[in-house]
Amino acid sequence: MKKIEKHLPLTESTAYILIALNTPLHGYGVMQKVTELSEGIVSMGAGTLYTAFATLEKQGLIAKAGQEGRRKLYELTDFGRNVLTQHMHRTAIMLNSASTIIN
Amino acid sequence: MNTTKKIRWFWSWKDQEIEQWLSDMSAQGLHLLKTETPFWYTFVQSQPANVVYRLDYYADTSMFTNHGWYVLDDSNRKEIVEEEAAYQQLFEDAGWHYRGTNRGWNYFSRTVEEGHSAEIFTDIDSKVKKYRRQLLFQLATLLSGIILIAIGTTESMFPLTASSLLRIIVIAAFAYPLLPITQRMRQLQQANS
Repeated sequence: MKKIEKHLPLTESTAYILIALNTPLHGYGVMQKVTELSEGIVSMGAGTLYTAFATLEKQGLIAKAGQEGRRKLYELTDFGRNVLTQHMHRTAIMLNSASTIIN
Repeated sequence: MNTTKKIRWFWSWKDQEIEQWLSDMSAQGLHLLKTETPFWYTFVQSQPANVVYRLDYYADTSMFTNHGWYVLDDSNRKEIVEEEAAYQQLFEDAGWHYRGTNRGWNYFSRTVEEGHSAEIFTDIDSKVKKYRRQLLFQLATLLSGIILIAIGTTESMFPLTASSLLRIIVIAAFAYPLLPITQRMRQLQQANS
């Protein structure tokens, strides 16, 4: 049984990659999607994304989902989805507390 | 096409120096066309341009998969070839030109444009991992060298290494890069904190 907590909290870029991979995408598709989802705050280099794919696949958070010519498609695994859901829960608590206290 | 070949050697923890050298060549109108043979670079003469070069490192193409090293049989050879193609395609999609590979180094170039990142690595973790892959390869080479010398295979293969002084020199030459590579990794991590 893989531990969800081991992967939490997710880094900002990992969280965005996982959100982007809700539907199967190839590497460059993820790079574009992350820039879009983060409103331009996070942009990833090709080498960094490739390294992240290898790590996340090894950890079982994402998996290969097919091929499009030379490009490989990846998508979120069930385990990856559970990790992301837990991350969202934690982030929501933090955001909620922060906005109560800070504003 | 007017091409020129040049030879250049570099320490693996100082790969930024080769990136800079290639950019300087482009500024003079000599653009890297390809590199396949270790230390050999083929340039094509054209207009001077502002080009950025970046190096990535995978000691062996089997590192592209999660199987580890040297487990080549027909079933995973296909997988490795596909993975290599996917890797190059990702960089090309992102606007990089693949210029070839040698000694584990993959060379990429792109013309500097406004609004486009000139980096292939945008976080410390992936930069450090590049040097970690080198460290692992150096360690593996060193260990296999020690084992070969210990079981005496090299004595019949290369009679010269029978001399114990030479053995020490050979081992030292392979052991030496471990320290500067580790320092480079630490330097990157410290710059981050």
